[in-house]
Amino acid sequence: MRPIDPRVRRQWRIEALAGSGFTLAIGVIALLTASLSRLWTAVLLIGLGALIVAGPQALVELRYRYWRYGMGADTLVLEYGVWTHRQSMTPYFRVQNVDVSQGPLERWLGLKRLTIRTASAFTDATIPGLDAAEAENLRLLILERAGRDAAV
Amino acid sequence: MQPFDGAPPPQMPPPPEAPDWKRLHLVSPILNSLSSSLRFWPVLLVAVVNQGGALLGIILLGVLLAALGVEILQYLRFDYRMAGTTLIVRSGVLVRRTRTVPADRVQQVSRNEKLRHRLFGVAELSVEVAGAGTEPEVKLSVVNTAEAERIRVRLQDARRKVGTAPPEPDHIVYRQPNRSLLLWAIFTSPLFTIPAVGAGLGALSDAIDLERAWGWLPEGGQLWFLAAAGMLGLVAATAINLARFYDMRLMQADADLRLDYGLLTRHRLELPSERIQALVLKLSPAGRLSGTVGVTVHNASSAGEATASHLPAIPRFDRDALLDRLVPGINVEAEVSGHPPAALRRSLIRWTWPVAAVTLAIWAGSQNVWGGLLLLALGPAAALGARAWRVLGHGETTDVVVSRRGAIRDHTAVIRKARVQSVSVVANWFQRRRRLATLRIQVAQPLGNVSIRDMDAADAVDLARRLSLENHGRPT
Repeated sequence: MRPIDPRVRRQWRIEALAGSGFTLAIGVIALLTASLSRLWTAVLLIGLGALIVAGPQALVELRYRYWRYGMGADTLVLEYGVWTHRQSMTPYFRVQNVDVSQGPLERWLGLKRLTIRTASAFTDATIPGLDAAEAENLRLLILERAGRDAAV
Repeated sequence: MQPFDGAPPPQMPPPPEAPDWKRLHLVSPILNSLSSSLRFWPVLLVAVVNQGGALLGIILLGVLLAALGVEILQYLRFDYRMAGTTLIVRSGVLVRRTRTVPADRVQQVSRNEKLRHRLFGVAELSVEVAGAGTEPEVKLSVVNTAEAERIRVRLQDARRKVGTAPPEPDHIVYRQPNRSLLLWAIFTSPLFTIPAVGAGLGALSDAIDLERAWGWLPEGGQLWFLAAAGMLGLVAATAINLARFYDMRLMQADADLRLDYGLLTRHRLELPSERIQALVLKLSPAGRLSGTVGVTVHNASSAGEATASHLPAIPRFDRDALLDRLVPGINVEAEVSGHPPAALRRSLIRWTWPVAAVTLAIWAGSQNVWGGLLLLALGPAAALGARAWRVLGHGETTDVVVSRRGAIRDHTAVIRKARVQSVSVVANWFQRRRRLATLRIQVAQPLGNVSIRDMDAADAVDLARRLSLENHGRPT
């Protein structure tokens, strides 16, 4: 089993910061329309704001530590999740198509995301944070192992 | 005199297959425009309620003419043909579309004959392939019944491999008893009749002055009127249920299964046996009362015909015989074993915490001691939690995995191992503390996902590995 690229931590941190910033912005707007009569309320809210920012940042490291993927002889295996551990196994011959995608942040960091699709929409097989060259290699390898059988 | 001095007459080569494209039946635009006009029933209802006589006529005529115009255009731009083992369909007024369906990819062929179709001797034929959409890949709406049968046979023949034995004649393998269907219909109907009658009366009271309308009824007559309306609704709902699934027959047609049913709308469904992904058995409270169990046969068809391959009222004593026809050698009860005692605690918590939370919220909100009486509901909730644990179980044979769950309605899924697309083992923090995990088995749409909840974590990983590795040979 292999870890994903460490650069993905930077991507997740930025995404988490954007999410926290949005939540905080809504909170600040709500606060500006209300009046703070007591000091402890203000302290509590500042603490909550700090938690909203720091919590997801702390989770990024844990999330990265738990992410593993492995290319078995017949099956792609993924393991991830902090609170809920997930281990998913997808046989190659069930593959309908392989998607490789890259968002603006991933483009900046030189990362790609690989998704395997089967006949079931519930198949859980997306590997984030792959080095761009590694994602292309994996794509070719999976397609080669998928063969040409009817997958349904 | 024999020609050619008694030599046998030369065999004429079979005429080449007519390459002509065929159109739908001529009545298609009329029938389809009537169907699409019916979609505008809320507009018509508003016009009727507002007593707009002339306006109603204009709206009705306008809708009908517009629908007819669209349907005529679509009819003129729609044609199809069978080319070898492939069905090709061209359609589209503005955007032209050519769809090619190879026979060996067909998951299901269904033929529907609604009452209006039967008046003209036509049928609607749907050909479905695997996919996540909600519409069939090809819908021929409508062709005459002989043509529908010809296409069905051509697709069936094309699927049969060259050199295999000729098809056996169709024979009935199971016939759903009408008595059990009637009992099921009677016990199921109140579930939706009572809310429907209530909603109908509510809507009526908004539209008309009930006090005035009921003026002609004697003192206390309103209650009798309501009771009669409820009874009439119940009888109507029972009749609808009965007519929908009337005379259901499961037939073996060569290697395929065929399901025929319906009184007014007659459905005929071809299910290639090798395409069956899973069976789902449901035992509802209505089923317990009527002694029946519902069985749904799932393949990977894309269309929203989930109820089409549903046998709603199989007598429980017939269940095993029917299952044996669908998945030879399966004995559901024998295969399933229960889950560890650690799962009991989770089941109890899962059923009781919503009651406790609601009670606490009400008590905190109102500070009313009587709110605490809700805690009495904890008893039944705990009983349901305990039953959910007793029902919970899984098992496997060489060919299938069985998952069973439910507290009020028992749900048993029988999944063919050869059709498993992928698997995942999921364990949250609470489950990990008790060495439990949930195994999720993914099969093709529309069933999608079957979960085996709270099984032993090591067993879950072991079963997941076997399911993903055993099939790597290739699909059967």
